[in-house]
Amino acid sequence: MQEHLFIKKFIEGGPGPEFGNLRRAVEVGRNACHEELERSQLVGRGGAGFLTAKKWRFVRDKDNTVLICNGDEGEPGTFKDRYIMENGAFMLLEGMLISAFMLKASDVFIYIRGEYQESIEAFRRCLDDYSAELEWYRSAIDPSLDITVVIGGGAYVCGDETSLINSIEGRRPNSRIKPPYPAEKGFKDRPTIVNNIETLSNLPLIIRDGGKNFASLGVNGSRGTKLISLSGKVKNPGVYEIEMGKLSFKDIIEGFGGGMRDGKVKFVIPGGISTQVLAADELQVKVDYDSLRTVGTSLGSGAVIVADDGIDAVDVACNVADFFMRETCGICFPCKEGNRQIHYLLEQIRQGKGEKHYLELIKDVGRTACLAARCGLGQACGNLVGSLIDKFPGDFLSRISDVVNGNGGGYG
Amino acid sequence: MVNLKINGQDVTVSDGATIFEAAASINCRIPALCRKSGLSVYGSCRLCIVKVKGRPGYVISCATPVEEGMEVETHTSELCRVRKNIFELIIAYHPFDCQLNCLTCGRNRECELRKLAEEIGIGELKYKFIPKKHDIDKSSPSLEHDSARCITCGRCVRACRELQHGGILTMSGRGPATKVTTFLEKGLGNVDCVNCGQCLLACPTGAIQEVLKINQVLGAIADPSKLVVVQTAPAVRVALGDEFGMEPGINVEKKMVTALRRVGFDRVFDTVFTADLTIMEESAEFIRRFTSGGKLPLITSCCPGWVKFAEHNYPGLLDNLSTCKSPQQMFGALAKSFFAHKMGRKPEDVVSVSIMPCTAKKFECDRPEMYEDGLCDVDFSLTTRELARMIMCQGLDLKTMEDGEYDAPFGISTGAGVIFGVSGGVMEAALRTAYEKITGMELKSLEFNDVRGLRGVKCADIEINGSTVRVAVANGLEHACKLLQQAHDYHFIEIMACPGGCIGGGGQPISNAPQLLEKRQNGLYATDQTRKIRKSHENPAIIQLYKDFLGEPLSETAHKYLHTHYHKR
Ligand SMILES: Cc1cc2nc3c(=O)[nH]c(=O)nc-3n(C[C@H](O)[C@H](O)[C@H](O)COP(=O)(O)O)c2cc1C
Repeated sequence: MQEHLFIKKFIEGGPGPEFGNLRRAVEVGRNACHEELERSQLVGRGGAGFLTAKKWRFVRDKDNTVLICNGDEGEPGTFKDRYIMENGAFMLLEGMLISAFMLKASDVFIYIRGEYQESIEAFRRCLDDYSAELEWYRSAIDPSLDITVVIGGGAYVCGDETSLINSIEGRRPNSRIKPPYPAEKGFKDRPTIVNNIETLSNLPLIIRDGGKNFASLGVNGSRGTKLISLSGKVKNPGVYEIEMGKLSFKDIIEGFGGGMRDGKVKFVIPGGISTQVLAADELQVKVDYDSLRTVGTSLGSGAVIVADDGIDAVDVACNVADFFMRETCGICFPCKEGNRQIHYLLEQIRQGKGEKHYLELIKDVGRTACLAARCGLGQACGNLVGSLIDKFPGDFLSRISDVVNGNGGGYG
Repeated sequence: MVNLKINGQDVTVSDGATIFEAAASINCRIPALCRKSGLSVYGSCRLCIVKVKGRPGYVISCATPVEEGMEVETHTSELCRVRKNIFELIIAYHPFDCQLNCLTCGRNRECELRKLAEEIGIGELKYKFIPKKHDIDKSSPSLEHDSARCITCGRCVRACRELQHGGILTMSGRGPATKVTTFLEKGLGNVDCVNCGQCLLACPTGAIQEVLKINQVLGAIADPSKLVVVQTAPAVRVALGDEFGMEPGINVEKKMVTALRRVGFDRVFDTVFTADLTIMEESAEFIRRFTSGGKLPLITSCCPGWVKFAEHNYPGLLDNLSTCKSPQQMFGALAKSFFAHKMGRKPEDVVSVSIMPCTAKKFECDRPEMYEDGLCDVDFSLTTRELARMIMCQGLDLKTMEDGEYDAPFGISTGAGVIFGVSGGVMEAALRTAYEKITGMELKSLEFNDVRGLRGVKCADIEINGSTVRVAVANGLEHACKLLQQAHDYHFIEIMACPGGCIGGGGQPISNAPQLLEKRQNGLYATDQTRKIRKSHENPAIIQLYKDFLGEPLSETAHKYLHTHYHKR
C-alpha cells in the first residue's frame, strides 16, 4: 500500500535556496492568504482539532500578536512533530514565517520538547541555513521579527496551550482559567496564537496549491493529510502520511505496519492516551475526525498504538492512570485528586485487592473530571481507562474474582 | 447594571460582577473552596461550576463575569453530583474524617470543609481513603504548617503574595507531589516570613495554625510559686466575642477580665496601659527628631511583623524606626522589674503572659533583644483564639461572665491607647500628645479623621505651631511597600502589617461575618469616645510611673527597659 505523500513529498524534495511559498504569500498579500486558509478548512493537528482559520480570525485585526509553535509533543506514542523537525525543519520554518506574516506577529516562539535534542539542533541549524531568508523577511516585511527557541520544561501538561504560555513566561506550567483565551490574552497578556508543528507545516502547501486544491484531499471536516505515529505491536512502526477519511485502522496496521509481530490485535489506541480505545472488531472505521467521533473516540494527535492479545487491559489502564496522576499540574482538584483516586483503585485491582464496584467508581471519577477539570488533561483523563473497562471487562473482573475466591495476589 | 436570571430568578448586579457574586446577592450560595474575597481568582477547586445556557460544558462562577440576558443554573442534579464527587475526592486524600484528626485540629469549630460538607450534602463517602505521608513544619516560633490538612487550594500562597508582598509560601512539585512550601523547603522559621499569620486566616482548613502555648500558661498558673500576670491587647476585646457567638465588634473587655481571673491569672492588666507609655516615649522621640534635625521620617515599631519585614527588606530605613519597644514588650519589661520589685517578688517568679490579636508577637517575645538580665520580658504570647479555647476549657462561657475591672496600676488606661488596635490609631494617639507637648496648648478636636478608616494608605498634613507635620499610615505590607517608595516625603509614618491593623491580625478569630473589620474598628473608636481620659500623657498611672521609676521619657531607665534596636537580616 502506498502512503499519500504530500507533506513527506515536500520534505523529501529537499530544501530550496529560498522560501518560494513565503515570497508568494507576501506577493498576494495578507488578505488573500487568509482567504486561502479559510478555503483549505485546515484543522489543528495538535489534538483538539480546531479550525485554524477560525482561531486566527480572533486576532486578524489585532497588532502585537504573538505566535507560538507547539513542539512539546508530550503525548505518549506521538512522534510525528519530531519527524518534521528532524527531516523538514525548512518546511516548518517557512510555515512559521508565512504564519507570522499573516498574523503580523513579530515575536515568534517555538517550544520544543526538552528530550528532543536532535530536533532542537536541527531547527537551530535551519535558522542558520536560512539566515538570508530571515534577513530578507526583516528588510521586506518586519524588521523586528524575532524567533526564539524555547526548550520544553519536561511535564506533559506543558503541551497544553495555556500551560505552555506560562512555561515560556518562566512560570509554573499550569493551565490558565479560560476565558480569556490566548487569542485575547496570552503571552504577557498579548493576543497569542498557539499552533501545532504539523499544523503550521501545512501552510506552505496551502499557499502553493491554493486552499481549494488543499481541500480536495480528505473528507468533509478532515481536509488534507495527516501524519500518523504508528507504534505498538506492529512489524513496522513509524510515521506514515495518510489522506484523511480514505483508510481504516485495519488498512494502516496491515498496509503500513506490516501486520502484527505476533498474536492478533486486541485493541488500538487511535489518537494518544486521551482517547478511547477501539476493539478489534471496530478497526474498519475510517481515520478522520468525524468518523472517529461517531464511534465515541477521537483522532487526537494521530498516535496510533496497537496492542496485541498478549496484553492485559488492567496493566495498560494502570500504566495510563499512573501517567496522568504524575503529569497533572496539581492545581485543579478534580484532576489532581481524581487521577490519584483512579490510580489507587486500579492498583488495588491489579494487586488483586479490588472490589467489583471500583469499576463503576473509576468511570464516575472520569466523568467528574471530564465535566469539571480546568484543562484538557483532566477532562480527558478517564477516556482511555473507561473504554478499557467497557470493552474488556473480563480482564478487570478476573483479577477481582480471585479476591472473592480467597486466593488473590496471584498476579504480579 | 446587568440583568440576568439565576435559577429562573431575575437578578440585577453591577457590571463586572461575577456569577458567583450575582448569586450571592440573591442569597443563592454556590459552594467554593479556593475562592476568597480580597484575593485573586484561582479556579482550582471547581466546586463553583455552574451551567450557563448556550455555553458548552460548565463554567466556574468565581471567574465568569455576568452578561446581559444570561441564564444560569446553579444546582442541577448533575452539578450537585459533580460537586459532591469533587469534594469526596478531596476528602479521600486528606485525613479530615473525624476520627482521624478533627479532634485535634484548631479549626474544628469553624472549619470551612465541614461547612461545605453540609452545603454539598455529603453522606456516605464512596471513594477509598488513600494513605498520605505528611510532615509538619515546626521551624517557626509563630506558625506551623501541617501538610496532612493542606488541600493545596493556594489561598495562603495568594494571601502572602497579594496582601503582604511576601511570596514566602509557594507551590512546589507537580501532580501528586504538589504541595505548599517555602523557598527550598527551608521552613517558615528559616525564611523571610514575618509571622503575620494572614496565611492562617486565609486557610480554609487547619493546615496553618499558630504554635500553641495554652498548656505552658496553664502550667504556670498551676504552679503556686509563680505570680502570673496577663496583659490584653486593644484589638482582642472587640474580637473575642466572635468565638462565643456574640455580636461582631462589641467590646467584651469587662467580661474578658472576669474570665481571665476565673482562669486563674493573679493579675489582669491591660496592654493599653503600655500603649499609653509607648506614646509618651515615641512622641518624645518624634519631638526630639523633628525639632533638632534628627533622622526622619520616624516610623512606628509597635508591629513585630512590620519590624521583621523592615529588617529583611528595608535595612536602609532601620535608623528611621522608633527605638521604642512595642507595648507588649514594654509591659513585660515593667512586669519583671518595677512590678516584681513592688510586689516583693524575684523577677524570675513573675510569669508574664500576653493575649494578642497576633501571631508575630510569639516571635517578638523570643527576640534576643527582648531579654533583660537573662530574663525574657514576655514568657508566653497567646492569640485571641487561644484565649477563647482556654476560657472554654475551663468550662466558662464568656457571654455569661459578670463585668470585671482591670487591676491597678497597669490596668489604668486612656482612649488613646485603646485605638492602637486599628490602623491609624498609633498615629492619632501620638499626635494628640505631640500636639499638646509642642504647643503647650489644649488640643480641641481629638479626632484625626484623615488617618482613620480601612484604606491601605492614608496621609495627612497636620499644622502644629506654624509648621506642617506630614504624616502617613499604611496597613497591609503590600500597601506599606507602596507608601515607602515615598517614605522621605513624610515626617512620621505608622505601619501595621495586617490589613486594617491589629483588628485584622493573624491571631484573631476567623469569621465570615460581613463588614467584620469595620465593626471591630467601630468598636474601638466607640470605646475611645466614651473614655474620660483620651490622651496618653494624662493617664494618672503613667504620670505616677514616671515619678516612681522612669524619671522622664527617654531617660536612662526608660532606655534600659523600654527601648530596643534592630538589625539587618
Ligand atoms: C495536557 C495537554 C497536552 C497537550 N500537548 C500538546 C502537544 O504536545 N503538542 C501540541 O501541539 N498540542 C498539545 N496540546 C493541545 C494544545 O493545547 C493546543 O490545542 C494545540 O497546540 C493547538 O494547536 P492546533 O490548533 O494547531 O492543534 C495539549 C493539550 C493538553 C490539554
